[in-house]
Amino acid sequence: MSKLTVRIFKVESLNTHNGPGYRTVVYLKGCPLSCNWCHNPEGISVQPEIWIKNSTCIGCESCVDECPVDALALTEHGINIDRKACNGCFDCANVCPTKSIEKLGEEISVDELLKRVMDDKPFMDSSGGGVTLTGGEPGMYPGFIEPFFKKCRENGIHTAFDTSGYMPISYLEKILPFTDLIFFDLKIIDDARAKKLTGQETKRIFKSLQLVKDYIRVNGKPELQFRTPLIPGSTDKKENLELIAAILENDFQELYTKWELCMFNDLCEDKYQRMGQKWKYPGKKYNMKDYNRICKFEEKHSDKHIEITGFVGKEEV
Amino acid sequence: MKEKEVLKGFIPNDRMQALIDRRLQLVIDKKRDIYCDNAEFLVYHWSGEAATFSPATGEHACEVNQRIEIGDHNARVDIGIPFPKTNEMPSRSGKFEYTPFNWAKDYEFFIDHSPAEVYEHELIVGEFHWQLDEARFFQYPDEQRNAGFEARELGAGGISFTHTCPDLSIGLKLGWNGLLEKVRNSIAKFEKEGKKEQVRYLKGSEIIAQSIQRFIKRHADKARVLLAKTNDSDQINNYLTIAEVCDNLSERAPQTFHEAVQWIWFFQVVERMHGHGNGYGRTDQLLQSFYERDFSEGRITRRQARELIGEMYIKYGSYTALGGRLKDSSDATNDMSWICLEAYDLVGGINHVGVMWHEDMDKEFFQYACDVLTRHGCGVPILVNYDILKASEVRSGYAEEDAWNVAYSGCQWYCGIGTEYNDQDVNSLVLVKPMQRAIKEAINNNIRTFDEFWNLYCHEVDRTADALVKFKDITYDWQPRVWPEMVTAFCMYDCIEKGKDCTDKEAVRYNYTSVNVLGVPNVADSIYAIKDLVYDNHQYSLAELQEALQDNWKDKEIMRQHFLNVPKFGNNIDSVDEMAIKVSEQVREVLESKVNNKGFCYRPSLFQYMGHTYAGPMTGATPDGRLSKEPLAHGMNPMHGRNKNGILATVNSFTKLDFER
Repeated sequence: MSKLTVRIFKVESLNTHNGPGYRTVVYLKGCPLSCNWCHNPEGISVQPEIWIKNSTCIGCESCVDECPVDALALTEHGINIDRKACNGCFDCANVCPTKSIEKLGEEISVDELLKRVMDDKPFMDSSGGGVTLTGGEPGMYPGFIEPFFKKCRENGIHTAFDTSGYMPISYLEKILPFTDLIFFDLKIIDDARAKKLTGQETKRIFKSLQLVKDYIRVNGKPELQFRTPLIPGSTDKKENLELIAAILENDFQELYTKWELCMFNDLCEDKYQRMGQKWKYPGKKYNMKDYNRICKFEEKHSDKHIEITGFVGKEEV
Repeated sequence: MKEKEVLKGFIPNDRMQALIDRRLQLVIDKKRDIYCDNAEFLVYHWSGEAATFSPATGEHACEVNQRIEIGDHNARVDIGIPFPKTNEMPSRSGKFEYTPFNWAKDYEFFIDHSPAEVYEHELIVGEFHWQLDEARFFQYPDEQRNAGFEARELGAGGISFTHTCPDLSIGLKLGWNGLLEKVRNSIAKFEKEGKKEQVRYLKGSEIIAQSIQRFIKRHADKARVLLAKTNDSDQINNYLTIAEVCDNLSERAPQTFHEAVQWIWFFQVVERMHGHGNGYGRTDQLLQSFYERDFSEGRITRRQARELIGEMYIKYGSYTALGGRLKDSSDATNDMSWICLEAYDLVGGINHVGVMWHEDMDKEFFQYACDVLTRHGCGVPILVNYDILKASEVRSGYAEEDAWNVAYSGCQWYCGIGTEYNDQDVNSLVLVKPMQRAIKEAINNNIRTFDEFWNLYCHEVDRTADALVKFKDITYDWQPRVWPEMVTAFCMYDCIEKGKDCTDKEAVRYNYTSVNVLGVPNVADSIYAIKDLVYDNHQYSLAELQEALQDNWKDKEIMRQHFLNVPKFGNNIDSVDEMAIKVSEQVREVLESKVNNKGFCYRPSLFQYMGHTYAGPMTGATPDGRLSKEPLAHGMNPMHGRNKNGILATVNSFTKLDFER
């Protein structure tokens, strides 16, 4: 029987904003959505990929020579990747003497990931932390998450799961019993706009939302927190936020502990460059005016457990 | 962080702020700097010039434009001139001898001609401007120096000073008069037994104790002189208090909290005039009974106690330890632990306060320690693990009844209080050197397997350690005669009783030699790279590597990148972390197998404080991909820039080592 594995593109220790205490955050590769603003473009494709840090590349062309599909070429700007040709074999990364080529999407088994997570256990214990799965969309891998979370629980590790809700509800049914905290993204309510901005309609998301609601009503757990990425001109529009507020008001009273409004920032822009993709919000930044607007919304909905996070704008307008 | 930006937990009043400002100005004016002669001193802990750190003035001082300034935390306060009576020192106007008595005569003259300083705003007084090695000849005979050069050639060196912890409770109980009486009783005993050497040593102790009493008395006199010159009522009151405290301390043991703090500070002044950098034990344990009594009888408030301790910190910032456990293993945290930490939270700055954590420690106190540490941003208090310190002492051979009373004693060191002469901190073993010899030998002998290479390496580490042992043994033969620590010995167990200096053989109970091992992560990374690229994968030959290293990797950048980018210690990668354990354990085993001529083994420290910054050009390029101009790794920290998996991965790599060893 083959070993059950999942593709990950990052494991991050001591993370402090994805659940209580120090979190070990595991980023799973692959997402059915393709949000315009995604901060982890390297996590969208389920396929193994590479990216290159040209600032440390010495131009030795070892990778070019090694590539079995001729996907790489040395240019005056560094190594260029033909992503259509690249088959994600990682041969280039393996021979790169400077390790300028990073592997995105190495496979890891439940036991291997657990071992990695257990290394951080003393820090989780001392801080009330745990493990958080995000991505990508971790909900795509219920067959992995179920045994992984189960083993985490056996080892006394708090489990959190960050999802867009876009998955078959049968997947979610498998995951919920082993989850202590679920971060549920509510991005955009209008179906047509959702399709345009995230690549998918909301029907599946609302089915998942219904399941989470029902599950918590029956079982009293897991803890539920909502997250809304505030994107200029789309998710941050008043009507969208009010629609979300209404959902929380009507359907989730007493069922959730936080609604996190994640302020837009462009800290991921260099990732798009490394992925050879176009960042769709060049030069766009939130300022104090935007921040104050969101604060007013928070004041108006002071009963909604709102927390505003991620603001990196200047203090002056 | 700038001093004024620190969010202190306690706001200094005008008097305390004036003292803090003076301390800061002394540092800014470079009046508290410590020097060494050359970069070799930092790497090998032995300059080949001065027998210790470079004196600021005098015949052993280095030229001002040549010496290296290595810190602004000297207890000595520079006033810009050498000791004015140097030529009248007894050993210069009379006869110089390598004897404790001759040393004591010089010390007596030196302290008698050192001014008693009392400054405005102070309640704790005492300051010194010269160390004895600025005025007395301090050089070992040639046989010791020659052994030093031999050791350095093989990658080792060291002086024999610092971080011993005298037990100040001995002095606090007896006072200088009581210590003097103890000395005289021992003299009488040894005279009866006809033991002339012991009598001679103790006669030296006698004149030292008397000179210290005079020194303390002169502070009372100075306060009275100053009192007559001021109309400020607060200042008059301060001078009167100082005069009373110093008069009392010159005649008897301290009886109040204020007197106890002043006694401790005077001890540090008169001891550091040696030129040493010792630790002073567990201040919270030393002062708790004084505080309890004064507080319950209404003689002192918590604020006053905090300020007196704060003054002592301002004076120097002594190595001191708080917390830990008592003999019955219970938590030792007491009121004074809090007050001593609060005192730092009041005065901040350059200080060496250590908090000895253990699992049963008062959680609020530890929380406060962490709060102070982060709020001040100066790495103070230093957090150490008491149980590890104690276990390490027991493992080395300490008796349980002595081991519990261990203290953090400065830098990375710890010491049994009053029972151990610590020859540590300033012994060095540069591990890169034996590795380089092993590479050369492996090429010469056409070594084909990693195991054989490893055996060669082990042999070379052993050679370096032997050279160090030879050097230290000769040093120990001479040390009690060349530079005894006669003030320290007053507060060490068994010294006065035996009529022997604490640097002497069979004087104190424990005499381990500890060695700072420099470059462990570089050697671990290097040997791992050699194993991987030379012996396992045959990508390069050892001769190719040697050639590249000799040329500092010139025109071999791809090759260098290969050596640089094999797994490195500090990323929680088991294979290379295991190599780091293997390398560090090997040097530990080698050192532990060596016995000094005092009958105690050697112990490793995986930390070396500054040598890494200067070692690059001296050691040359290394197989871990390091260029010659780059520093070595600092202590056991991963080499700079190589821990790429985050701080927790580094912590996990680091904690794979067994620190009890």
